[in-house]
Order: sequence, then structure tokens, then C-alpha cells
Amino acid sequence: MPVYLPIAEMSVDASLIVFVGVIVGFFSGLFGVGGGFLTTPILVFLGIPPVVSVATQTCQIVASSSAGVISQWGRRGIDFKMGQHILMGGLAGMLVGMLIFNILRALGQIDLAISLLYVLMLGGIGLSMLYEIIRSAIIRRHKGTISENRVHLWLKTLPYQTDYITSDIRISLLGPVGIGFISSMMLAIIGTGAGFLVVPAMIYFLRMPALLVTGTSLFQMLFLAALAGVMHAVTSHSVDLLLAMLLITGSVVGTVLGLRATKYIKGTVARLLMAVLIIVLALYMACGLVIPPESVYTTVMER
Amino acid sequence: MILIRILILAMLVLAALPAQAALKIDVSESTIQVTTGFNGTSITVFGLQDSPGDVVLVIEGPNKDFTVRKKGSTLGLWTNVDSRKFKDAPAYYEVAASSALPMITSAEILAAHQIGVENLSILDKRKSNSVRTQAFREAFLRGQAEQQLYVMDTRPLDYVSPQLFKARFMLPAQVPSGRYNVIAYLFQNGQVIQTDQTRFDVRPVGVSADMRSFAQENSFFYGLTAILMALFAGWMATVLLKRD
Repeated sequence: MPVYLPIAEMSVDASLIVFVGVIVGFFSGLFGVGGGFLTTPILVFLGIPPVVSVATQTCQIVASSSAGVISQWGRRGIDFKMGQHILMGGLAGMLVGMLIFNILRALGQIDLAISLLYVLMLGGIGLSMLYEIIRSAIIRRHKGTISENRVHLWLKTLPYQTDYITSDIRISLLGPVGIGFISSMMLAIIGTGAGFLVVPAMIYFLRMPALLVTGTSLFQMLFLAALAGVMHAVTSHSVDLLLAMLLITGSVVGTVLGLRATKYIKGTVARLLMAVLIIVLALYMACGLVIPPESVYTTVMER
Repeated sequence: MILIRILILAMLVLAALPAQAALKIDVSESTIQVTTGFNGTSITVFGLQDSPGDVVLVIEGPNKDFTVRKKGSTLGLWTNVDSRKFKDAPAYYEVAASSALPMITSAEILAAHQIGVENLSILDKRKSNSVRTQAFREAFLRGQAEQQLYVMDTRPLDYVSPQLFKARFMLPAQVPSGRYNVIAYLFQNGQVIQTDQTRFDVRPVGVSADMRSFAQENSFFYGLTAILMALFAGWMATVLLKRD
């Protein structure tokens, strides 16, 4: 069914957008990530202007992360203190990221920077996740103990040691703040990263219990995405409510399915799936950088 | 005295009549409404000519600014390396004519009246005409043609009678909203002897229009609405989850 999007000023197939929402929502519920790293490339691929895609997917992130937060809240799956500290770093990171974004844009290198960062970050995280999963599987089989992560040990020596009672860990406050800072800086520069940077960092650097990772990640993301959404609406007027509604409708269904799937899919398997998904996406983006494009020219209509 | 006055008036009328061949056009709809279900539409331009000659109709969409970017390979990576900004170029352009344009008049006259896609003055900031900018311009025209926003082929005019003509234009779903001008030219012996002009608007209406004005005029509350809607949907999801 074709529907005319008022802000994007184009007609799209409504069922297709709902379907995209279902897919993204499913992964979002399963992995505890926002799914922006999936939504934006898919929407752009479907011909929706990049500005509108980036701005509108924040609404979808709010929908799926709020669903996750509410359900994890009931299960006591959120470390609020940790979440708040990540968020504190995140707000600072967002400001710095925007500054860097504007500097890069003035230098005229924003496109190269975005594409390169995307590929390097996705690829790096995907590969290191895969490496960790395989390594811990081998260690578990042979020795039965997992060796301490170097970053985790380092975090135990830094100042501002804090007790995170819910997570039952004692590390420096600088750990969560730093993670929030870096992930939100990336969020401001390349429009994604709040989830898929934070989740592995919480698992490997903070050594948070697996049960708390998803909820805490979604908790901080909910606030960042809501803030980003309002900011996009005010500065660029590019949030498309109708597109958001279609995406959200699908994503609600997808998130429910994804959250239910967490009962049947083990943590390691889910992480393996996420690692593979991230690597595939990194490869796809890398292909776009390396393979000569069909047409070297692109036209954008300004408002 | 009265006799002289009548004589002068008659002379004026006689002088005016043969030279002023009449040409009049109008459109089937003065406003094209873009609703949520909008998926392109057609508009009919019809007109009347009281003397023989060829008629050319031009539809020109609202003027917009366009940025054309060129990708290049730097260190093996394909990224945007160059760009041009074309200011005030029509977002939509199409021509209809009673016969092939070269049969009607000379290339110079077509260029002077900017008739035909190749005669549109699409200029960048520096009004450059270098080979490089020319390549950007051609890429822009190609892109617009691919989106069916510039129609490269001249559409034929239908003659209902020797005086009455009409042409039906198909506007695709992605037509930008704004004011569209329709210009008609009457040619005799390769010269423009009469022109007429009309216009129509492409305008979002209903929910679509409300959303646009909300987004523009109350952007903060618009953003807040979007976020609250998303929160509500998230809550709905958990209700659905609990039910089973």
C-alpha cells in the first residue's frame, strides 16, 4: 500500500517499512541494541533522504528501547547507577561529537570520515566479539576459567573506585563514564553506536552480569535517543511522523518477538549472531567504499 | 469631431486585430492535492488558438537548489570528492508541442525562450561553463530524468478541433510541492507571435499538510510528540508481551 511521507516528500510502500521495523525490532529486543546501525542504511537504501532517515530512526529506537526498559525493569534487569554514569559521559560525548562533526564538515571530509569510522568500528567490534566468543569457548573447554580482561584490570586501578551493588562489581567511575562518552561521540558523528558500542564494552570491559547488560544499555539509550530525536526535530525539521509510525508499528511487534526469543536463545548464541550481523554489515559498507559506484554523481534537492 | 473620433477608433481596431492572434490556455485543476494516499497524478492543459500555427507548452516546477556530488577514488576508497550547487533550477520540467520542436523553429529561438531540457539555464554559483561543471550539469539532468522529474521527450498535443488543443501531463509521486507555471507559445513561420501563461499548485492537504506545518512551526512540540508516541508504542509492546 503506497503512503505519502509528508516530510520525506515521497511515496513508499507502507508494508515494506513495517517489515523493516519488525526486523530491526527483533534484533533490538534480542541484543539490547537500538538498531540504528541497521535502520539508517536500510532506509537510505530504500531511497529515503539520509537526513530524514537518521532523524526518524531515533523514534524507533525510543520505542524499542522503552519496551525493553519496561520489561527489564520488572525483571530487575537494570543497573540504574551504572546507567546514569554511562549517561553522564554520554551527554558530554554528544557535545564533543557534534563539535567534531561540524569541524569535519567544514573541512569537507565528513563523508569519508563517516564511511571509514562506520566500517572500522563495525568491523573492529564484530571481529573482537567473535574472537572473544571463540576464545572463551576454548578456554572453558580446556581450563574451566576465564582469564581477566586487561582493560577490566586497568579500570580497577584507576581513581574514583565505585561500588555498583546491582551488578556486584567494584570499578572506577571513569569506566562507565568513558564508555558513555566514546559511544555518544560516535552517535553524534556517524549517527549510531549508542548500543552496539556499549553492549560489548559492558560485557568485556566492565564484566557486568549478562542479565543486566541489555536492560542497562537500553536504559541509557532511551534517554540519548529521545534527546537526539527532539534535537533533530528542532534543528533540521526532518523527523517524519508518518515514517516513524510505520517503523514503530513494526518494531513493536519485532521487539516483542526478540525479547521472547531471548528465553530460547542462549547469551553466547545471541552474541555470536550479533557479531556475525555486525561483520556482514561492515563488509557491505566496505564494499560501498571499495567497489566503483554505478554512477559517480548523486543529486540532492535542498529545501 | 465625432466622425474623426470614430475613424481613429476604427483604425486602431483594424490595426490591432490581425496582428493580435489570440492564444489562451487553462489547466484542469488549479490545485493538486497531495494526500497521504498520493501516488502521482495527471493534469490536463487545454487551450484555444484563433489563428493557425504551432503551439508549444512548457510546464516548469518550483525553483529549488540542488547539490550534485561526484564520487572519486582516493587511496582506493570511493568518496565524494567534488560538488556543484545549482541554484534556482526548476524541480520539474516538461514540454508538449504540436509537432517536433526542430520543425517549429530554430535552435536559437528555442534557446532564447529556454524551451527544452537542454536549453534550461542551470547555473552554479560562479555561473561557470567549464567542462567540469558541464559534466555536473549533465549528471543533474540525467538524475532528474531518471526520477521522471524532467521529461526528455516532447509530448504531442491533441487537437480536438483545429483551434482547440489539449495535453495530459503525468506527474510522478515524488513531485515537489510548490507553484508550477504553464507557458504556451504560438509560433508562426518560426517566430513567437503570442504567449499565454497559467499556473497550478501542488500542495499537501489533510494529515500530510498538518504534519508539515506542525513540524515547521512547532518543531519542539513536534519532536516531543514523536518521542511520546514512540514511548507509548514501547509501553504497548510490553502490554502485548505480558498478555501471553
